[in-house]
Amino acid sequence: MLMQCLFVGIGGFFGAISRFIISTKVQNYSKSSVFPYGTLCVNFLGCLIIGFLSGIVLHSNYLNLDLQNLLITGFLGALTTFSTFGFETYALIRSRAITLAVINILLQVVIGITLLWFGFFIADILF
Amino acid sequence: MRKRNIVKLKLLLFQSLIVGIGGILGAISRYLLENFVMFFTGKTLFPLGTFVVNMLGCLLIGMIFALIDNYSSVGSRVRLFFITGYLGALTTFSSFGLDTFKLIISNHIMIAVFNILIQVVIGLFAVWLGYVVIRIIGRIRRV
Repeated sequence: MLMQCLFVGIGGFFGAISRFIISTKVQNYSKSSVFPYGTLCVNFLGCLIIGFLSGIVLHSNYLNLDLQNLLITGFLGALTTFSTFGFETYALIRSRAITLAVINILLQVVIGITLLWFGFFIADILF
Repeated sequence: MRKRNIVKLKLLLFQSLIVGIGGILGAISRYLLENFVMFFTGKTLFPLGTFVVNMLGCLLIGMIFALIDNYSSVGSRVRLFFITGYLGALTTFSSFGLDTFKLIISNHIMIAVFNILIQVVIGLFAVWLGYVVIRIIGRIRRV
């Protein structure tokens, strides 16, 4: 348990920092500070990669439990976020931008799962 | 390299360190919580572990943002550590997506749809609840 926590923690360290840097840069780049492009970006990226890695786990034994804890539970779990997504949607609703809130939810869920499937599909082909 | 750029880089590194440490704690909290939930409920079809950490994270983010709004002395470092670092790592969208995807491909479409709806709806409710509770406590204390 302790060793697994270590791997999860290390992955979490880099995942959180990656999320911080990527989402800040993306949000600054998109002049619209209203729509949460930053969070969308990191969540999309995380979904794509977790689909791919899950495919690898399913079709091969290249990723042992330690690597899974490091990359999937640790890194991707910290790279993506549900709380920020929830708060940003809530903030949109509170500022009466209900349509944007609904769009945010739909985009996150639909494109997120599509990307996840795509990553899985690629891993399926390669392994 | 311009001095201004070096200062900016140092700031970014410092902020990243704060976020990173929060991230370590958040990820480990998530790991332990999910195992804890699974220990009690066994392997369920509905992804209870992910649900619990995500809803908890939403509740807490509402509360912390209310604290930031109420008490402006709470600095940006708190926000970086608790919200970006800890809560960002405590909650996960990738696991949520994977859980939903696994439900879909194992032909449990209804549970997949239910998972999406309940996490979004209760998540938003939790953010609102956390925010409102702190605001109310703040008002009571001022009276």
